[in-house]
Amino acid sequence: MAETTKQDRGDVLAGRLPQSGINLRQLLSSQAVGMLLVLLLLIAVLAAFNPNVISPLNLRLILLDAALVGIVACGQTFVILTSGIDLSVGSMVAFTGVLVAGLMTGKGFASPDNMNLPLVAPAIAVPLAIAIGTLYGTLQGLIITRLKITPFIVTLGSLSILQGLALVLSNASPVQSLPSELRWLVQVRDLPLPMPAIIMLLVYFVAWLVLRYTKLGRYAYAIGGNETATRLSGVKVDRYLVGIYSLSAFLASLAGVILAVRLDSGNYTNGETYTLNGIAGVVIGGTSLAGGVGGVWGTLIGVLIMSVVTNALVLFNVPSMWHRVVVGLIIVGAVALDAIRKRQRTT
Amino acid sequence: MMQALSAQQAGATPANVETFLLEMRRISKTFPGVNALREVDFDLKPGEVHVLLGENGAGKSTLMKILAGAYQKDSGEIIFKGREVSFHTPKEAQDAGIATIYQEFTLIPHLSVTENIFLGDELMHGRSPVLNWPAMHRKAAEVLSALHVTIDPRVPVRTLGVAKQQMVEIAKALHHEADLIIMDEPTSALSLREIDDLFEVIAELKARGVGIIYISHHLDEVHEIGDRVTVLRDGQRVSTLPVKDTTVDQLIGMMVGRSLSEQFPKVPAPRGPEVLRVENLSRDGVLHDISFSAYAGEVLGIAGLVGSGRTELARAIFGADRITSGQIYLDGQPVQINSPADAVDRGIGLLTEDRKQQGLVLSMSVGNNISLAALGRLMRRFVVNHRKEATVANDYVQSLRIRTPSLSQQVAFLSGGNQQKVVLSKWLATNPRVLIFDEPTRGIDVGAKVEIYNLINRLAAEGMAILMISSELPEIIGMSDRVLVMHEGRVAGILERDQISQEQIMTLATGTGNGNGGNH
Repeated sequence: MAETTKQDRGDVLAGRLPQSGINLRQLLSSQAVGMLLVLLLLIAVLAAFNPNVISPLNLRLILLDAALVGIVACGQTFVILTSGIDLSVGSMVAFTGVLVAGLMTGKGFASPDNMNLPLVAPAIAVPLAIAIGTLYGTLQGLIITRLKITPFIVTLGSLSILQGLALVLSNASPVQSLPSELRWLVQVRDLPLPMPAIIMLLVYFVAWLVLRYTKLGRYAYAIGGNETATRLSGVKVDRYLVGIYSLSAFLASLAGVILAVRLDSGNYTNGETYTLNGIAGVVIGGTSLAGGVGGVWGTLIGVLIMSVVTNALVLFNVPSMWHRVVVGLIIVGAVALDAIRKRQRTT
Repeated sequence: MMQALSAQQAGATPANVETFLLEMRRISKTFPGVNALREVDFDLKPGEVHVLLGENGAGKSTLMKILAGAYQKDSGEIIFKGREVSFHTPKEAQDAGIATIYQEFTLIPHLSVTENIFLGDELMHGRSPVLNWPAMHRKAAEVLSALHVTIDPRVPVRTLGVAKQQMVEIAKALHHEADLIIMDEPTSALSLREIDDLFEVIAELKARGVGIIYISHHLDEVHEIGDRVTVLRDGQRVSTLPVKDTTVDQLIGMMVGRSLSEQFPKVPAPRGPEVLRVENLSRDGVLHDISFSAYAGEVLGIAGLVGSGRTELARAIFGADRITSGQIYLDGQPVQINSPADAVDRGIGLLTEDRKQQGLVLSMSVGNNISLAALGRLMRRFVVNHRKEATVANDYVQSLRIRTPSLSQQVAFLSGGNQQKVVLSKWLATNPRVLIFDEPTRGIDVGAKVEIYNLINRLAAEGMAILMISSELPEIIGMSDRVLVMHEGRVAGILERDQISQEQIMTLATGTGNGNGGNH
């Protein structure tokens, strides 16, 4: 090893290498920073037309609106990092909402009013509903990894299954009048931020730590970047994928419970838009649909951008029929952006 | 359709250009970190076989990919049939009459020979939208018989052996009126008899005025079929000569630019105790009854033709593919290896043949790639110890002399040799007992190759057992203490150091030694 080869000019291999660079992308990818600027610019432009946009009340409203879809999108970020997708999260929100509401009120469960079911205390009903939702996610992960079916198909099936279960369990009508002990979950007054937003930020902070400091986080990037190479490096890829689909289901279940409390209703329509809006947030935030690149802070910003746009449509009196059209356009735009970024990365 | 077979170039070549079918002048091409080609000249006459020689990474494939429209040249000019051309896509080159026969075929396995040959310009019944099968089958049979090969044009391509598939590729090229056929290592998967058949077809093509660029590693083939030979080294043309004026030794000298001992700095290390023993290992249809041992301090070369089961053997030992029967022993103890994770736990590492697809996570940094397999050892409970990770990665960057601006550099931007060192670092971080290298120097610059060889020697000297799979005989001969030769999924023989020679290996690899010649 003593001799120096012709090509070696020693230009880059000095004694020390910068070490801080590792994982900097996970902290704040340049894309996340870029999207933060877009968010601020968007707010500034909107505020120039309508100062109400930046009123404290409106900003809190935007955050509240972003909170639950944000929690869902956080789990989705992990899934998309592995180059998978979870289309079942919206239905999971509905399912767990109906489930938790039904457990606590004894209503619904395919047999209205006359069943005299024992009421389950919130302290048990909430963890139980979330556990059942998470378990479903585990099952999904097992089907994806063991039977080697693409996540798209498995979670598309679940989208229908879970919504169907929500319909069956609720007997197709809202399950209402949830116990008031849980109202603190959606408290807005007398707090620096609405409670759901606080929970969301907490979720993102923990998710960031998980991505940066745990094997699961590192392997999520590795699996999305090159699943074969990761497997051939001795990583138990299937085990981590199951964990990640469970995590996504867990966060969707958490959002489902909070949404049911917030609406005081478990309904099969809860969270209908969360899957699409959440994926949009992930992609706008710079996580590539091809996997391996991205992070949760970008998703947070992406979700906020979606929320600001929806909020602005309301403030500027755009008829609500148009909202979905706009959301769809943003999603297509974000995916196009992803394709362009990918081309730049590879050339 | 058949003009290409009957009337050749007449009229296609304007008089002011002399007899050249193709002239490539001062072609240059740069990839990030690599000067792939520097001012390379290359030409070809109709009816000529021009052999292109050079080591892996010398620039042969790059030059041919530029000609075939797969890559774009940075500078230089290409004159084909008297006109300056620049192909932006492989389709453009094909339409102009340049066909490439790759090592991996581009046929569609479930379609018939006829369907493959006519894919994209099917014959119709008159102007109707109905396919004229009788006419297509007849014409396909004509093309095939013009090549003196007997293949039923109605059978699906997948039922044909490799050699016949290659003939179908050539027939397809002829059908598309190719004036120039690039053959990239056409004999690498063929038995000796099939090679003879191919050479007859090549002679037939020559007689019809088709120009052939023939890429090969096998020097003995040069004199058998070549008219002229061009040698490339490190992206530059060394020389172009009539084949009859050259000797094999001279060609080797031009290819490597240094003596064999300089190129393969083999340091024989004393053979230590047995580390790995494989007994009667089989995998249905792929590997049959394989037994051998590997010892600490030795490099066991694994040779064989493409498709002989070398990579499959590595994957089976590594747990990437299930084995049907057989037993693996490490340090004399029987072990169960059901997954790569088991193999890594037991101290086995595999540097795959295809770095980018199977070895690296290109979207991740150099540092994260190095730590990927050993991340479990770099944890403080459930938390990745970033400082320790960086220290370990940094150690390997320095001791393996990986040229990278920083640990956070995306590994995709490193050169082939440095990428290979990153993969090697990944395995060294797991502290392996056995390292399997599958084509360790494929796509790597000549200079970096020597570095990889030195690393392999160093690891063997440190007591590791090394298995080295290679298609390059000089590499196998130059680096191995012993050579295991495979043929059709079986061990054809194991050669001790003093028995290793090109002839010995080829005899075993082609199965000609014991009379069971490689027919399908």
